[in-house]
Amino acid sequence: MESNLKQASKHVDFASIMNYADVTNDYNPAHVDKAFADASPMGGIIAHGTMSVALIWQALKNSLGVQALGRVQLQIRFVRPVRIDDTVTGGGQLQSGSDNVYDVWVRNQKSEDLILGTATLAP
Amino acid sequence: MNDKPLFTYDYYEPGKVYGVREFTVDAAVVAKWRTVYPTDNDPGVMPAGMLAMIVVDAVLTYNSPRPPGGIHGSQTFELRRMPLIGEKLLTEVRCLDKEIKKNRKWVRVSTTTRNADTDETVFTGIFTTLVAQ
Repeated sequence: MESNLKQASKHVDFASIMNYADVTNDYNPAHVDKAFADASPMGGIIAHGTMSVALIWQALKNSLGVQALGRVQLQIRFVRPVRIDDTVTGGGQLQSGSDNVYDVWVRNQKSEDLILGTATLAP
Repeated sequence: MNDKPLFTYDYYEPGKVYGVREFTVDAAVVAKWRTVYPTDNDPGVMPAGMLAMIVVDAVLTYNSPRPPGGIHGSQTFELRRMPLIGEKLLTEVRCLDKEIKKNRKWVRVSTTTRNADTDETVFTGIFTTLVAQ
């Protein structure tokens, strides 16, 4: 089992947020309406949280293979929003003493945690 | 005019099933996904990032219209196997529970996604939302 997942990254711009909104049919104004988002407690547009979760799946696949994904239990919390022009990276490390539980994360270019959680592989 | 009720915190009923959404993992929808993630290209297998797409599509179909500005707080996925390209899936959307913590209104919605032909459970999830006030 890989101790460090092979990381996956993506640059997030407004076009990619709109593409993701189109793909998911999720047009929450927090993601797509600048005037609404600017006036909200978030103070500006934030990307869909699930958009960056894909990077954790890519990191798991890059390291363990696509077949292993079918045995994963993923638990994640969205701890900080993704902003326009962030470059976000997903990765993870095998927990100390474990052979099947990874601490997983998505971080921005400032190394701030955006998503935190665990990925557990069933036998 | 949309006369459906607004899915405020008060409208959610723990235990209630809101519907079962059909989603086919066809080539067109996978191509659409790849406009966002071009490298997700495993022959025959749905890109794993699309698991969230299936859940969001089902939840937004049945728990809308929503007060604008809600936040997705956390998410779980428990996979039995990866969906396959060409597979028809059915996702049940159920309100699991709800709770007010520090004046914030949280709702947890569970989803169960099954193969439409065999009823085999493919994956489950829990979608936790901070409902906009």
